[in-house]
Amino acid sequence: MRIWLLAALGTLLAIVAFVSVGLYGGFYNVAANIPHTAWVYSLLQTVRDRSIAVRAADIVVPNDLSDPKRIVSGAGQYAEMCSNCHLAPGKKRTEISRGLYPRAPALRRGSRSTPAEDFWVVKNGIKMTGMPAWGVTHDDKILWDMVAFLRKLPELTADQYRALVENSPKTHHETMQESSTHNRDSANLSPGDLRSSP
Amino acid sequence: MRCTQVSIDTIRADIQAMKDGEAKRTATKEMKMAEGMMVSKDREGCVAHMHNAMEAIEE
Repeated sequence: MRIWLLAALGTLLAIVAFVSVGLYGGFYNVAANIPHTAWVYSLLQTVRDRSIAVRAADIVVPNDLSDPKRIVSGAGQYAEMCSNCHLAPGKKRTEISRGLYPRAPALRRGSRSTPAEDFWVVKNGIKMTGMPAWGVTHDDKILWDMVAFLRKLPELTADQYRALVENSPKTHHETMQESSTHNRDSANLSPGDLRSSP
Repeated sequence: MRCTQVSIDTIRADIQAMKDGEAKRTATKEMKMAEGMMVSKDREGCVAHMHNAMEAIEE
């Protein structure tokens, strides 16, 4: 019995030592121009996909995602906020899209994610991928407009995409101004209140 | 495009981001052949397979 206990303890210590040397020795290359090995990539992908699926499970999806107004509004936001990394129909790869690792998915090719999962990702971002949490600076309505557009994106030709962006009712800047005004009004605050807030 | 480890790593990163399917399988196979040719110092063959892989990526 005692020998088994010692063996288990020895094994545990060896594992801890091995992991510690691996972590603190700086052996793993975190450079973005050297891809993960297949199994590390697969592991991280599984962790990411399951994390998103679990957290998006309770999100209630609006029933008007196919509303053309939402789609055209989302197109304008997408062009300004997403297309540099995720590209768009007719858009060539950009310098940032070539250098990001993991690569930002080319969303014109479609995805298997649900609208709730798309919303969660856009709102919360994803650690260590370059995907920002747009929910920090944008309200949910704007983010759902983007999700509505994402559902439509794989069907669009370059001309259709361009037309949607050109017909977008407001620039990103105007949308943000309107959003901040709306939020201020909702909170019943004056501009002075905001300026004096800490 | 040149047959270098940097170029091969770049294409491998592109392949990792692809959805599973025929195009990804083709690109992966082409890159394995390109890497094999780089090891055997066949630069032209390596570049040809890298081009094939990139075509599969762009499909």
